[in-house]
Amino acid sequence: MQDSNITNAHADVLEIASLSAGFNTKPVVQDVSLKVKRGTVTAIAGGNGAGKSTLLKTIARLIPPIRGRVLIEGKELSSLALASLAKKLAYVPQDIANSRELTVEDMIALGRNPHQKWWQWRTDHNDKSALENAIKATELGDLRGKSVSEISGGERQRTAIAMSLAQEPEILLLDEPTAHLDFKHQKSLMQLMLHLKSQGMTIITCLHDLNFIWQVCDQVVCLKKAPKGPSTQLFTGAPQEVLTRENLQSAFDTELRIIRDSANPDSNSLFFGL
Amino acid sequence: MTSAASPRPNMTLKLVVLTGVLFAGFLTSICIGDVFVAPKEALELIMGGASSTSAPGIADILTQIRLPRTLIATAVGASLAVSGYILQALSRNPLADPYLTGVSSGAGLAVALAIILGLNFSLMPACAFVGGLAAALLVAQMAKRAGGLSVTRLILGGVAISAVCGSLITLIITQSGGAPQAQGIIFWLAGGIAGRGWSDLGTLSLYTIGGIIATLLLSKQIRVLSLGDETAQALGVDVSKLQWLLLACAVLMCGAAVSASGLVAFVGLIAPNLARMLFVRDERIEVIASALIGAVLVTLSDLAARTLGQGQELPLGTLLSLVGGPFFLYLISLSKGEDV
Repeated sequence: MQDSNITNAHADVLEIASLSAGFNTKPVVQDVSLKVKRGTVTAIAGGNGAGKSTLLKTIARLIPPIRGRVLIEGKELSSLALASLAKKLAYVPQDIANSRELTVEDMIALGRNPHQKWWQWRTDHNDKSALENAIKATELGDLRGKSVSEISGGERQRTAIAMSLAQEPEILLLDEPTAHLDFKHQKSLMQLMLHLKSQGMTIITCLHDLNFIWQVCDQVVCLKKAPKGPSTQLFTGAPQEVLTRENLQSAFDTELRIIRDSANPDSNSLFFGL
Repeated sequence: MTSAASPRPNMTLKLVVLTGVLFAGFLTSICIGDVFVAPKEALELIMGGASSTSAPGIADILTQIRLPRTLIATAVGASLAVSGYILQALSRNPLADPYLTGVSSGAGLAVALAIILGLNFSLMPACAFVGGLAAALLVAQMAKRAGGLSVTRLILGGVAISAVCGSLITLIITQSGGAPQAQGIIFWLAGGIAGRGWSDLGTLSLYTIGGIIATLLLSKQIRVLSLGDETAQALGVDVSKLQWLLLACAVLMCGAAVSASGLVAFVGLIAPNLARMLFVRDERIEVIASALIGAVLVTLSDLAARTLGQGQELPLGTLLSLVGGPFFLYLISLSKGEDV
């Protein structure tokens, strides 16, 4: 029993069991079960209002589960102290409030908060190198002295991602990370996610972009809104297996085309079109 | 140019200038009054050095009346300013001030009741403190929700409590049948430090110094909280605990100040905003600067209150409101286009 727990802890860094998530006692999404292996990228897909962000926030412990469990390395999420959870798990919202007009660098540095004493302002060697790595990975070097209120939505999103990287987590939760990004920075983000994955980081992300999911993710869980009552888990699996025309048409209630890359027929590249 | 290191010398210089202004104001306040004392002589007397040049009566005026009174003004100003700074950080709104939490009106109601019931005057600070705390707890209870305090509910609750307490005070005054005590209530409500001595300073300075130290220790968490409740929690902050801690600091400092000086408005609004204008983006320095500016404001206002009036003291609170009201309007005009 003990042994199998330890082996499981290594394979599945995160496990969700029969989870109902929502606000107060009203579930937005119910009965989700999911296992996430270390060093993989999992996408949460689904139409508007299907409860993707609600599910992600529940995994981040920002809202308590209504029913079911979230386990991190075999431990119940709620049993972890907030600061030790923040060292393991980082959450990037769609947008961050900035009532203080911090600079890009100041904001990213706050990602070190869980690693520092609560009253501590002084940064040590580890803090500085984590900050520099995060700025480098998100290509924000030129903007570091700018106020966050002066930069664009996409730059702010990269700042938020950089802040979570400065946390040096094992699990990264991203809520619609491509939403404000231009094509170039979507591609940089894709490369960044693949790089982080190669270093053993586990990523769970809400995404709309099927092409992005196809190219980056190892697993997709798709939620579907029910006509009455909370959303349910429609399908789960590797993109190559579950992103079929039938599945997607059922998920989004609309026609959809899947186009094979004719220049590269053997490359397994697909394009999802409207 | 924009690196964190370059504005430092500038900040230090500004802090030194502010401290100098406070010291000058403090000294002026001690020297000026019905009897003028030369600054050098005043300093000698305060430091305990026997001054051969002055009459013994002057030493008493200085050490028993002017010195404690000026120290109380300093502490009241610093407490109200830091209390305002915390409430603005908590509500993420630069227009918040200690009065929005209902502390002052709660304290006012308690004191009005105490005066009309003819309680001993030495009990007033305790009454103000209890009343202020009760009002703040009531407002905090209304603002409580899963995962922290709702800022909108905090402010709306504070406004509602203030209105109820204000009406009750008016009722007490009008129903007193012209009793002489009603005059006392009106005078206390106007705010002032006249007649306060060393005995009032002890408790107040304890709360002032303790509150400033606690706020400095929490200043990093104040910055994290500025990113929003969810992001702060994702960064490992127990948001609801932090909000309660900050609220407790703000209420205790404000309550202590109100119990010593009555209703002194706008210091908690003006000082933190000036501090933010003078010092960019460093919570530690903003806390210290807020305390210094608040202390300067109240010290100078108290000096004006007791010297400008012809034979009679002007109410300190009224004097500060004359400056604070227009400043409040100026702040609103600055923040157009933002959520206020």
